[in-house]
Amino acid sequence: MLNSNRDTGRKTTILYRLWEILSSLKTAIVLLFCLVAASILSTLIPQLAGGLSDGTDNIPLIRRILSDLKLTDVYHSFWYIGLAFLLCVNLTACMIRSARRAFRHHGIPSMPLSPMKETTFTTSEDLHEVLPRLKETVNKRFMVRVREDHDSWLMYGEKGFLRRLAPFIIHGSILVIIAGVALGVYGFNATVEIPEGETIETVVLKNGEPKTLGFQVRCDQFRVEHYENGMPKDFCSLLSFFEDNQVALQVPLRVNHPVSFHDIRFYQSGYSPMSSAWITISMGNEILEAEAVKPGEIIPLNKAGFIARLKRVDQNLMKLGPGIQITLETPERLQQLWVFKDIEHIQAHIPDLFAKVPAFNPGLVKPFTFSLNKVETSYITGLTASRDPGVPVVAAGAIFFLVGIILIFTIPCQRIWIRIDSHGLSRKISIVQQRNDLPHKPDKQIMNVLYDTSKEKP
Amino acid sequence: MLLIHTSTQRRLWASIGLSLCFVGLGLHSAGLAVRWLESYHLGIGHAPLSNFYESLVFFAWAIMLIYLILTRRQVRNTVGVFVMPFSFLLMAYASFSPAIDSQIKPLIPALKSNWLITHVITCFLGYAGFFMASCFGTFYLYKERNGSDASQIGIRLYQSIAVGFILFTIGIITGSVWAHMAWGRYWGWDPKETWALITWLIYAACLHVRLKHQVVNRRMAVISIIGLASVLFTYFGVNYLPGLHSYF
Repeated sequence: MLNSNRDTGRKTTILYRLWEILSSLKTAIVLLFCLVAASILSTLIPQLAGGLSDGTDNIPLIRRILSDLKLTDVYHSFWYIGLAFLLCVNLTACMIRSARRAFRHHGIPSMPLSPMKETTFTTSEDLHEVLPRLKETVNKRFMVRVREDHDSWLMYGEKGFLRRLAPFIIHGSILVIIAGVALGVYGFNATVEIPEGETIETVVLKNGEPKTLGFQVRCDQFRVEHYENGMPKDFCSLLSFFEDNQVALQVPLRVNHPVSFHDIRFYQSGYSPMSSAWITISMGNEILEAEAVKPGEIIPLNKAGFIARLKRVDQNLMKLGPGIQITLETPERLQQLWVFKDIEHIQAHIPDLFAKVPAFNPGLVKPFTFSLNKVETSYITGLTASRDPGVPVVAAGAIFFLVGIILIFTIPCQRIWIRIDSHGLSRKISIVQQRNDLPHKPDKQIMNVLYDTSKEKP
Repeated sequence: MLLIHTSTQRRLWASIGLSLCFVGLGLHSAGLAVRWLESYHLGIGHAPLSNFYESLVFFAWAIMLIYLILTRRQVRNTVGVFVMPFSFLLMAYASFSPAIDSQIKPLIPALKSNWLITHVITCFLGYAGFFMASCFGTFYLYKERNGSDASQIGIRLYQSIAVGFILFTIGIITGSVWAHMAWGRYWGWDPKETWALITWLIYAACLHVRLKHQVVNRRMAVISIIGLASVLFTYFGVNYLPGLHSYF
């Protein structure tokens, strides 16, 4: 009575109620659906890492409201992380609760009682004759344990114990995965572009900040192959990694085949062509040569008030062969010029070309006459550099999770309880069998033993 | 044929319909194999899983395969009335839509990986399992409303969710491994990745509903139907959102 009062009192405490809520399956289901809703929102509302920056008074009101609610950066928001944390707490609580329930009573759980699930017999045979026969039969299929209490015997058999461990494996592995994801905070993910033949020492993080690698990387060579339709077929960078100004490693880097150096992994993510032009500028008797000018660079003119900037370089500009686009600033105006390597050949095919398209005339702006000597294309290789200490942890969690769900869906857990209660000279035998925690028809061989024992059918 | 059988209850129609299903699956499998071989003859050489057309065709095949494996006689004939039209519509859309290019195209470098085959096959078999679950869920609700015994349908519903869940989990894991090898990150909250996670969470919740109530019930059937909407958005809808997985 006293214990009952104490138990009743304990069950009404706030802590106990909180425990019940945190360890409840209903909470797990609610949390899962909350995460679903949050994730749906994140795909429908454009996400900005870090949310809106300061000084965004011109941003529409609705966008500011979404930003204040952290809906524009869901995965870094306090409420999403809070939901994930609650799910971890719920998982842990569920596992503790299940473990206590599963391993109570020195490994013999209480017999589930329900008139629908229980099959009963009566017998007047001596207990010491019934028990060994029953135990021998049950032992053929189950791992048997027997507990004796005053006038009753409880025989418990279990098969497929691994299946009972499976929920712990599954939920534990989710916690391991989340721990691995959290460990990833101590790593980094960055990008870098290396022109062919050049060396870099820093990469650019996602937030735009530079990060020093601690060693140098040079792109010795970049190779790209194309299909007939012009799509890239394969591309590969030959990289050299330097330590103390010595080449420590030279290795080709291809898509889907990352390379590691000093626990930083490099991935071939893309490339871009980089063309440069060799240009001759004539000013009367003066000849200027500009070599390897890249788009965006100034073409030196040596004349005050005139600035020429190379805007574009193409191996096949407007399908007229190698050509460049120059923006020429004069004191009077801004003039666009297109200079082609084979301008004489083009002129021969298109009479009055310069009259029709003055901007194709390389001598349009006096006193300059531009001529394009050659165009060379090299490449800039685009790499991703990352280090994530959480990857092995996440991988281990994923493997265990997979093992767990295969166990839980493929191995049935079968349990059987046989209780023999003595009532004077007669014995009442109750049998309950479960398969994966659901009521199951009792095993035929065991039932036959019980039929023989009782000499009557239930 | 199966619809006629459902109306007339004559086994002849069911037999003919089912025979046609098996023949169709066989021809479909042969078609996939031929397309795979033909890609090698063209000097390209890849599994028929790389673009929208090939994924539609494979999805239709996967649905038929899962349907024939998971269903038994009585249920098979009735559920087939729902399964066949969907598979047919997928094939029709793939074959006749002017927006879908059916040519065998070479793979871009990012798709040249053995993970392509494992990831795509397991994901689509998972989708097929979830689709079957929605069919069983619909059938379960219909039987329950009519007061019939829906326990057998409930078992099939649970089995199809289990099959779909295992395969889809393998699909997500292999996708993460591939992403890590190709892009240096195993998860990037790409719309496709996020919606795959959403679908996975929905079916995880569905399995927990069954665990809570100890039996398949109406809630589980309803969630399996909602889950299909998520599956369809994961497959079709994310193509309209920007991301690395977009077919468009």
